[in-house]
Amino acid sequence: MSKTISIHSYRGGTGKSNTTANLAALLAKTGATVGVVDTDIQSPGIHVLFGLDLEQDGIKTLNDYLWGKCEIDEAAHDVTKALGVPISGKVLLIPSSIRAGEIARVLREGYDVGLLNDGFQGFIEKKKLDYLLIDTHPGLNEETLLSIAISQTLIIILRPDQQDFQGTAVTVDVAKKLDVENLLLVVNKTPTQFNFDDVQKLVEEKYGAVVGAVLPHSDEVMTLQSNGVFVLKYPDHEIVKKLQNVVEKIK
Amino acid sequence: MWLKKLSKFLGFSSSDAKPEAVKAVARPVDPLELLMKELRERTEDIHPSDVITFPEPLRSTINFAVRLGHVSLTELSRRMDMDMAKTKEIVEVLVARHLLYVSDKSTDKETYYETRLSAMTRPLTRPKSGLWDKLE
Ligand SMILES: Nc1ncnc2c1ncn2[C@@H]1O[C@H](COP(=O)(O)OP(=O)(O)OP(=O)(O)O)[C@@H](O)[C@H]1O
Ligand SMILES: [Mg+2]
Repeated sequence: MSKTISIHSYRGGTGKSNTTANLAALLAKTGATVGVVDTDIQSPGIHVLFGLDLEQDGIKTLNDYLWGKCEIDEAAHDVTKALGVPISGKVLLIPSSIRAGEIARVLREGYDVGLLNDGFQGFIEKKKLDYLLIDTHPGLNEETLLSIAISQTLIIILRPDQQDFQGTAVTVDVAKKLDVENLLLVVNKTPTQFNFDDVQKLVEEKYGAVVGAVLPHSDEVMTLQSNGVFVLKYPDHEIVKKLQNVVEKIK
Repeated sequence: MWLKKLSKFLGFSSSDAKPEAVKAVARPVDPLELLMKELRERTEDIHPSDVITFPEPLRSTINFAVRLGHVSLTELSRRMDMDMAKTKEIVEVLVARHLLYVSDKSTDKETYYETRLSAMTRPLTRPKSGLWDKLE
């Protein structure tokens, strides 16, 4: 049976898209077929990490599916080759449109999140996915709640920051109300002068949830400038080892 | 007022000081009954945000069913620890509010349901103008 994993954070810019792309690559390296959906329709971005050019003519996106212009699998693009290293599995990405008009239309008219529900299911079935990773928009809204409700695993990303701490408490609460089986916290952008074991203990105590990884703030991540998937570009980096621990927990 | 003051002075909480007759009338309302009444009266489908506020044992049962994508009537009754008649009563409302759909896998012996959460990301305050189609 396939597994659905949502990656969420209460606030923006915590590293959701990077973590999603990294986990997708690590899972695909084990031979799995991994689907990734960018549900951050208001501010999409994960396609950049996978090197998918959304300016090409006729390329289908999640928006096309939501407007009934294509089937869900037509919006799925195989980005495995673009990862630049041999991978035994596959990564299929459903991006969100970056055309201003299409984003505006979603904001103006809204859409039925039930279509997302159907789309996720169709994507899993038609592409025989082993894993479906859902990259979300920060904060809570109906589409995020839907993603959490259908996921076996929810990964909540936070930075060691008071605003993140407070907001994460809200999300953890919601996750518990939705009976998420596997709730994992990932602390990202941790200043290297912090004691990582202390951070892990503090966060685990505060939320009563498992911390999958405490990741450092890294100049290498910033230097990469979203120009590829970090774990494939820096396979020996400590971030890879730590994310491998997360992979073990979602398998 | 004086009664409140007096009972406070004597160290009673105000509810202790209530006459017996009043106490007997204030019957606790079953949250599940209350929810069913609300769902029957509204026309909107059940949103993901609604499920969070569902009382137990409905919430965990719906969470289970939504995650699986399908569920049988027997399973619903077992999980909610309710007899078939009571379960059917609840299920009827959930079908009417489009959280459950009767599956064509259903037989004479068992009814199966598919689950589907929905919600407009934006309330439809204005009718669709068809503007976007015209622009294309
Ligand atoms: N561990 C890290 N160290 C340093 N920079 C990081 C780290 N993780 C992510 N970043 C950087 O932070 C920025 C935001 O990352 P990312 O886009 O993955 O976050 P996000 O949560 O998806 O953001 P949004 O909420 O806007 O969707 C990017 O510039 C990324 O390179
Ligand atoms: Mg993002």
